Amino acid sequence: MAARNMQRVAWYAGVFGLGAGALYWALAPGAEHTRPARASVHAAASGTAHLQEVTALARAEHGAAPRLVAAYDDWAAEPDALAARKAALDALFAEPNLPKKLSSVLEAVEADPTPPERDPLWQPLVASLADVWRGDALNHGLDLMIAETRPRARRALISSFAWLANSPRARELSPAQSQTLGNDFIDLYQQLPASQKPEVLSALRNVAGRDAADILEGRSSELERQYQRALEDTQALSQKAAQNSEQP
Amino acid sequence: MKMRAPITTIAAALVATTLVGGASAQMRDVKDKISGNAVNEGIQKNLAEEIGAGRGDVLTQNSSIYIIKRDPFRAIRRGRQLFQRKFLPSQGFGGRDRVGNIQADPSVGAGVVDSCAGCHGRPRGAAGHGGDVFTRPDSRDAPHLFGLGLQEQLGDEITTALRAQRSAAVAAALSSHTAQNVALTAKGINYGTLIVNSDGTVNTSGVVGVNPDLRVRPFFAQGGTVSIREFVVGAFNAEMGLQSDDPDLAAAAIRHQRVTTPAGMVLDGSLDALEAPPVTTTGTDPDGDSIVGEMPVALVDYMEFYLLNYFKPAVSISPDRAATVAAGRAVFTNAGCASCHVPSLTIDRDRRVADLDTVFSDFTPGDGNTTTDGNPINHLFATATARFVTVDDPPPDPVLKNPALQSFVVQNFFADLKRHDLGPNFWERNFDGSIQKLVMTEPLWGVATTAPYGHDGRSQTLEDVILRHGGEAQAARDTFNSMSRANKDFMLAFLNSLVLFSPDDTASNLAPINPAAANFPQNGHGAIALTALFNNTADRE
Repeated sequence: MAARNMQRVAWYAGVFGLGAGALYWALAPGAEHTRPARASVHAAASGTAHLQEVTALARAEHGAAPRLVAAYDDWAAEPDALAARKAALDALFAEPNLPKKLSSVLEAVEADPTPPERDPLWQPLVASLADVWRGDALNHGLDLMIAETRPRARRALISSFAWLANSPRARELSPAQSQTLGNDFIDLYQQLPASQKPEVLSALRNVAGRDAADILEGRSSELERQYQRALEDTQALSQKAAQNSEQP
Repeated sequence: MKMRAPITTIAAALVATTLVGGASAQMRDVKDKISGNAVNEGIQKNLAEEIGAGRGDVLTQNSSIYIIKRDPFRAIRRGRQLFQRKFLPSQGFGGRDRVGNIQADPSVGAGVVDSCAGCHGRPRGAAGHGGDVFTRPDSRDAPHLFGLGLQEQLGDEITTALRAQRSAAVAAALSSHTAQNVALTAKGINYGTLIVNSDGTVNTSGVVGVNPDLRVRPFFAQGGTVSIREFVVGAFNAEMGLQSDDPDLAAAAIRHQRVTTPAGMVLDGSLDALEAPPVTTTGTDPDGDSIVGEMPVALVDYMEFYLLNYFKPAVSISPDRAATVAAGRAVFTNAGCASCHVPSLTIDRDRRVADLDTVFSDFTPGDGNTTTDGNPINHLFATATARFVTVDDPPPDPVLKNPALQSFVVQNFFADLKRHDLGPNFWERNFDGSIQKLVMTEPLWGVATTAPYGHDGRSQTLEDVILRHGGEAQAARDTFNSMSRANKDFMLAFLNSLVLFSPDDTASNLAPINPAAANFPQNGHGAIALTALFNNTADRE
């Protein structure tokens, strides 16, 4: 594990050599790209220190997770710490023990006060979480999505399954898993923040068809229209049969 | 200590050589009383053998605690056989002179039935539904008991959470000398508000859905009983004339002590008003049938453990109905039904030793793989998963199998463990002429199998019972009523996917189907065969 973390950290150090400020500007949506060069130099210095700290933590065999979690959250307001935070997140994801991994990752996610819509690490986080949901971990994750009560952690879990369902990996789900996931999306939908609903609706269409999603959106579904037409056709046939039977 | 592997593989090899247990409801024991039973179906042990060495302890072989702790699937099966057992007058059944004040004791109006399955027997061999009893002027239907342990645990954990909030508020009020206003919430369910005055006194006028003592009572339509154990002992007495002198209930309800039952339920008489057993002195005979000790504590232990672990209902959705059912679930959510019929709740520390997930599975023997096929009788397949840890113990005793106490998501439950006023159509008359207005939200799991509907069985169809809602559910009811016929039918299709099943007729990873068996599917239909998980599979229950 330590060797793998070292490789990751070395990669980030290389990237960081190109300039942490530049990296942040590239990743952050809507970032101000006209920042003075001097600020960039300071940011790079601070970011380098953070990254070195994460590198050291990632090398540690035991007990690093709480400090990585703290680092991830403490530096959330520091744009220049983005690469270090991403490295911290990757180090948490590298934990081979699934419960430990999820516990520390979700603790870090929950403590981060950044709104998901403005969090440059949100999508990488969601994608990494979605990548966890393979084999037995998938069923565990489905339960966790329902059981988790911390709002930001819960949102990340839901988004990770929406990510999975919106990806080609949706085809890997068993019929039972697709059904459970679809049911969960339906059950959770009313409680979701408005900004999260579109991704869940899209995911629901992928795993359970478009009708349930249309209904949740308050629209008439194609299934409803077909059913109504069938009812009307049946009624018409019945009326016609009744008329025919009345004729001598 | 180690976590046991999933049951799947354990059972597969065993079941091939293991006879599957009996498949009839309301069974007689075949050992002493019945002849001519060539297929040897029925209860394999007589009552004395089921009582065994009594309650005993974890070192007393053949005692209820020993078997529950070391051979838990046998304990579950024994509880099941007791549930199905047709008790005889010589065993204490009946004998109760049913006279008295029905206002004070509604059980005076109950009939006497010779087995639990007499009222809770459908589908056959299940701890299901079926009876109708005159314990209220307009009678009540006997509810199914699937998932009963999950309900007990949810109610208990919610109670603990609510009381912790109250305690914290009292402490805060006393230390700060300022009143505290608490929004009572547990497992995402809102139970109103609590005001704690600066002197630590508590105003519960804003509490909703639960008594002021914050104790959730999951059982009975009015929300009257805390635990499976009280329910079991009460029903043995009121419905069957079998009196127990259960020491756990006596300690908790009468002496106000805190006891933990062999099934792990904590009964704390210092906190809760609990139901005392009908016999409090050993050797007394309150029903005057000259039989004492009619329901020994060991049998109560097995019954409680069986119902704690009893299977949750199934979800049966064939592929051709999947889109319709999903649409119906969405309609159900949009209509606001899920605000009380909450789909899923999480248990923090599950005391069961196994879970069973039962879903639709078509009968497709032609595909060459029958290991997960349903049978042509009910098209269901159940997957058992272990939820226990083993603790090694020196021989000759087998290992301890303790519940793993992990969290568990109770999917497709559809209830909030609260009382609600659903309007006059749901109100109920008491014998004194007063009106019972509050009823517990009925969990919808299994609802498709339980017609007629409502606590009193007075609604013939699911649509009838939905339209019967009013009061707090008026808006959801009106939304349903205003839907297109299509959306109504989708919602009914969804509700009709929530089914009960006969465990002995349902194929599982413990006993899959065997289409090659003689006279299939009368033989070889598969079963949820706990026998395969006994320490000694040759010793049948």
